Amino acid sequence: MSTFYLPEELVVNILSRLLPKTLIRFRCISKTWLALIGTLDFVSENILNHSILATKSQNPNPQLLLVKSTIQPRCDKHTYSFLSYDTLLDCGFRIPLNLPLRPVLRHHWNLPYPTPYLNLSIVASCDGLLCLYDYTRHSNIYLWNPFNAATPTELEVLPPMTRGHYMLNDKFVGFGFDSRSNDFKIVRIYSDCVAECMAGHTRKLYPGEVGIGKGVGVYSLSTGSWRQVEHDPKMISGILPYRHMTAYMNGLFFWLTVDEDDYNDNRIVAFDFSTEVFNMTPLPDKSVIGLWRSLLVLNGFIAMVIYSRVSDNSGFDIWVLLEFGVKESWTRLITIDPSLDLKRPLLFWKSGQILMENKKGQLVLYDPFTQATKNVQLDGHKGSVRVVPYTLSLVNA
Amino acid sequence: MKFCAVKQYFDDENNNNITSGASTTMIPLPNVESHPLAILITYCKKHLKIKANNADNKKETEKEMEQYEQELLKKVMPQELTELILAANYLNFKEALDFFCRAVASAIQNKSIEFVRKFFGLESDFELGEEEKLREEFAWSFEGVDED
Repeated sequence: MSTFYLPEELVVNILSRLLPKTLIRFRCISKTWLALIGTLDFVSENILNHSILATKSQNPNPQLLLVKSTIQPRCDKHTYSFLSYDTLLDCGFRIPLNLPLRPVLRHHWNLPYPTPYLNLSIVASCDGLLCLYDYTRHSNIYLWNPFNAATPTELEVLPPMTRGHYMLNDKFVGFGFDSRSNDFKIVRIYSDCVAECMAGHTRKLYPGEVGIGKGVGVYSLSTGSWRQVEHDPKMISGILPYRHMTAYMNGLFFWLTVDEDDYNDNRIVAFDFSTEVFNMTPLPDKSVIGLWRSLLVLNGFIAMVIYSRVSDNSGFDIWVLLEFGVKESWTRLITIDPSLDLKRPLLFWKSGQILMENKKGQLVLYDPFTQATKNVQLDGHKGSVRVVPYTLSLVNA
Repeated sequence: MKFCAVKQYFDDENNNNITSGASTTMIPLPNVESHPLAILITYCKKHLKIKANNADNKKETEKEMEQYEQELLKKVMPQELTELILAANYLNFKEALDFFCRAVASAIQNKSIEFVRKFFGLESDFELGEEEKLREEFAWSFEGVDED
């Protein structure tokens, strides 16, 4: 059988369609392919970098970005704005979310007693629907479609997930879309133990004591009800209750966890809304990375930000997980120097550029190729900034 | 535009004022074998037919085209794909080129180094130990690869 030599441009055409794992393996084919595929350094123009940074048709860009800011934590006013994803230009309207909160009550559930401030965070943004939750306290879960009703500040409260008399101590809420059953779902991880509630804190078990279990409940928008879900307790035992250590991507909700017995065993777990199963990947060794982390999404890959120090004058690294489940596939992509005055990354934009919050609390766009920072013009926003993708959709809450 | 190279030939012919009927003109295609050419012609005709059937419905066109492409791939040997790519490239037939490149990418996505070398007729030109070093450093990328 004769072999046909493909010219380089056709080889590139084929290679540019391959996954990063495959490309990394194929670097071993020959010196030519090694040079062609290149190394994952984020900035060079090569096939490997392109496979991660370029938008893929399976993960199309959203039309809008939703920007949320609060002047200070525990403030009673949040401001929401929309930017065009393509141009990053302000769409021009603001939606304030003030107290007193007047959510639409579809049912008469007990609301928590009035709080002096509104600490709602966005759990995830999915097909035009936002899930909001207060991470600092036991709170209700809200769904919000700012483009839906005549009054854009209507929030829908989810019914509580009751379980006998036990107070459910939980800060773990995930939101996403199940593409198999075409349904929005909320997943809630709770601790269920009377002793724990009475003591007001978690503690290690005494020998022979009944376990402080964690339970998992799933709410389907289509049925409007909660049900309990079987789970592997090892997956979620050390789950961390911080919003910035979560992420949503492609029907999966991610949390960071720490093993309660082995503090060196750090992991990332993913809940699949279709199969309703948890899977996990260990994080790179602790000696390599620091303590302070957050999660980001990069074109269908999960990325993790590692802050070098807990101080304002720290830089950070961004790592990407090339193959979920494979610890060795964590790859350091980019290092941000503290002199750039960037506080924290918020969202990956086009072609590897990153929307960030700088040390002055402003929203900026960072280009890792030129190392240039550009202010994103956005009036009225001050303080803590959060950006999520927002896809306009015909689906209503 | 499909078969751009052929169109170019016709355009050139017209410019030279040759008035023979298009149906009797013979166009030399020295770089394309008859078998891949036949497949490309069938692909082209089918694409045009599907497009005509679903005049305004782009999604339907895409869906039907995808179904046809899946069927076509079942009849084509993987080794023939490189021939088809070269032919589509020579004829400047972009849709077919994209499709067959996608098909090759799919076919090799989970394959071993040895398989891919054989597929493209390549040989290792690494120095002694270079390849082993790379394999060791990125051992994780070799997990779960299809058996040859």
